[in-house]
Amino acid sequence: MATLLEDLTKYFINCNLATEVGKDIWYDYDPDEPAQAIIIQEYDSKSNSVVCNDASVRYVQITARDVSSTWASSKAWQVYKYLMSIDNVIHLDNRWLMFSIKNSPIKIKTDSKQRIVYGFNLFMTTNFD
Amino acid sequence: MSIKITMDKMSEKQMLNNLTVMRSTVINSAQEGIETIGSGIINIADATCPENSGALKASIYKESEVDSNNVNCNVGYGGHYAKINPKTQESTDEYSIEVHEDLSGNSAKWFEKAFNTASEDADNVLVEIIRAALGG
Repeated sequence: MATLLEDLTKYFINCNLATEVGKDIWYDYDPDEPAQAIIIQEYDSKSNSVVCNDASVRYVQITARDVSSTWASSKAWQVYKYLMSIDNVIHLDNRWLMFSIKNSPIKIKTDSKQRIVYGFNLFMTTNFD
Repeated sequence: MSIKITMDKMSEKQMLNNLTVMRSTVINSAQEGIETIGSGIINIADATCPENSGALKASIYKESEVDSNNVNCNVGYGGHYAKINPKTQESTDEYSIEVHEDLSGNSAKWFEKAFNTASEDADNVLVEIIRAALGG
């Protein structure tokens, strides 16, 4: 079974929000190049939500970056709006997940190569990898 | 066999008076409870907030208010309480989001974790304080 981030990445590609892993979207990895990129990462947080014995709550950050603030912002908003527009339960091949978006896209930083990074966070209840 | 229950006008007035007193007791103790939860968040956040110049850590705040429908406590960093970083002359508002959200940083999400941790026991804290105020 693929990891959560891998599954999410494939899902976004299937939804035409990105085209190919390693080309315009990455998971669990922040590549130095290219400038234009969507990056999906998991982060550690703390939750008291004990769900059941084969699922847990996980925290994910989705970012979009580019030297163009317009592209970074609009790509982050595109993904955000897509997730807002669907039912918050997603069924994939071997996974179900129920997500909740924590915030709308915000500018997170300008990196050392002058690329603007926009992003938002969500948490999700999903079955184990 | 039957039981007749009657509420006379005097009892009704007394009950209304009691409810009025009880309402303000509940609201006051709820505010105390919410502030206690807010202080819990601040205590945890203080211990985990990344520190360089100390300006960001010093910009934390807690504000409480009661309106007609809610008892509120806002806990956060910056805004009216933003500080100037003495090393860079930047306002903490200019970099607090990056420090919190940039996952490549060592202390990312410290405030979110503080909130989640303090929230675990929030219901119990609130119930205990309100119960104690009501003499329970």
